[in-house]
Amino acid sequence: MIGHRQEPRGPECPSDLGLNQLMVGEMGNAARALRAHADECERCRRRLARFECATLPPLPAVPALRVLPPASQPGPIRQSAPRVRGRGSWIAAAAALVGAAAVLLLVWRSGDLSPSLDGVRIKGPLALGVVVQRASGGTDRIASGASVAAGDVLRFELAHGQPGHAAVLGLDERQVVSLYVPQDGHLPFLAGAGKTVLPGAVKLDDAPGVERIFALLCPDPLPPEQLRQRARDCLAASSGRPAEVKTLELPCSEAAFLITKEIGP
Amino acid sequence: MEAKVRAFYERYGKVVLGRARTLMGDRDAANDALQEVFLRVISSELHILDEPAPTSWLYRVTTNLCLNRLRDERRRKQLVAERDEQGEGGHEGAAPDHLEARTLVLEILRRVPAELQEVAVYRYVDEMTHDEIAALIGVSARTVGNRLIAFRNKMALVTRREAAQ
Repeated sequence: MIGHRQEPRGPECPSDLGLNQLMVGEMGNAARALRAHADECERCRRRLARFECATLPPLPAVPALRVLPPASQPGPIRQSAPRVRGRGSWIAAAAALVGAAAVLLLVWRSGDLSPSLDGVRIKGPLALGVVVQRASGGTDRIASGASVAAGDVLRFELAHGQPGHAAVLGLDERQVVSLYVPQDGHLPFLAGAGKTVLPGAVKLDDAPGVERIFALLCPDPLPPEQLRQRARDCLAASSGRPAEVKTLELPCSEAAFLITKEIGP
Repeated sequence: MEAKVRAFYERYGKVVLGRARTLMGDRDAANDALQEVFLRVISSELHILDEPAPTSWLYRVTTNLCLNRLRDERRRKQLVAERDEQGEGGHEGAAPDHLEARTLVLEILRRVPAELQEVAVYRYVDEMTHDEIAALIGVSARTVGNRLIAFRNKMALVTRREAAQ
C-alpha cells in the first residue's frame, strides 16, 4: 500500500524489537534459538550486526536529581466528586463522563490497571498512568512522549506505595497551568497503597504543543491554589518550556508525564 | 545516580540509537534523539533504571519521540527536499534500509492522523504482527486490527483524493 521493503521479514524472523531484546539479553530461554536463526538468516544477521555495531556517542552530563524525604501520615479523608473540568473548547461534562466511563470499562475489562512501565515516577513511591480515549475512537494506555489530539479524553491513574492526597496538574506551552485533579477544590485522599483511577476526565483542547503533566501525592491536603502557583513559578523558571520542568519541588511524592498535542496531519 | 544512568546508557543506548536511526534516517538526527531520550526522558523517569527488561519501553518511547520530531512541519519538508535532491542512496550517513524506512515513515506521517501513525509504523515499517504490536502498546490484537483497517481506509481515501487532483 505504501511501499515494499527490499528485505521482507520472514515468518521465522524476529522483529527489530526482538533482535534488540536478544542483543541486550532479554530473550531468556528463546535466546539460543534466535541466535541460531540469526546465524542462518542473512537478513537477521545483518540487522542484528547493525544494531550491535552501532557506535554510541558519549553521554553528556546527566542532570542533577533531587530526592525528597518520604511523605508522613495522611490527613483526613476527603472525597472528590467526579466531574469534567471546563477548559477552552472542552465538550460538555456529560459527554466526557460517558467517555471516561467507557475508558474505565475498557481498562478494567482488559484487566490492566497496573502502572506498567508507562507510568512515570520522579520521586517517592508513586507512578502515573495515562489512559486516553481517542476522539477518533479506541482507547490507549499511552507512554510518556506520546501524541494526543484535540478532543481526546484523558484519565489518570496512580499506583501509590503509601496513602496521601492526590493532585494532577498540566503545564502547557501557552504558559497555562491547569489543575486537572481536584476539580472540586479538595485533593482526593488515597488510602493505603494500591492503584487508584482518579476522579474526573480531561478533554483536550485544540492548542497544539507539549504539555507536562504532574501527579502529586502529598501527606497534607495542600491548597489547590498553592499547587497551581508553584507550577506557574516552575514553568516560568524553565523559560516557559513545559518539557524542561523536571519537578515542582513540593513536599510530595511526584510523578510526571509528557504529551504532545497535535492538530492533525 | 549518574553512574547508574551511565551504566544504563552503556547497556541500552544501542537500542535507542538503532531505533532512532531506522526512523530518522541519518546519524546526526538519531544521535540527537538518543541524547534526548537519555537526558530528558530517562532523567525524569528514573524507575526505568531498575526495570529488568526495559527494551520494549525504550523502543516505544524512542518511536514516539522520533515521530514527534518528524511531525514537525519544517523538519518534514526539509527531509522530503533532501530526499528529492539526493535520491534514495545519496543521504549522508544513512544506509539504504534506513532511507527506505524513513520514506515509509514520512508517507505515514503525511497521510494519516496522529493516533493511527504509531500502529502503522509498527506494522508497515517494522513489519510487526498484530500480536506483537498489541503486546508492545498494551491493547488487544483486535484493537490493533481495527486501527490498521482505519489506517488502510484513510490511506485509500487520501490516495483517491490525490489522484483526483
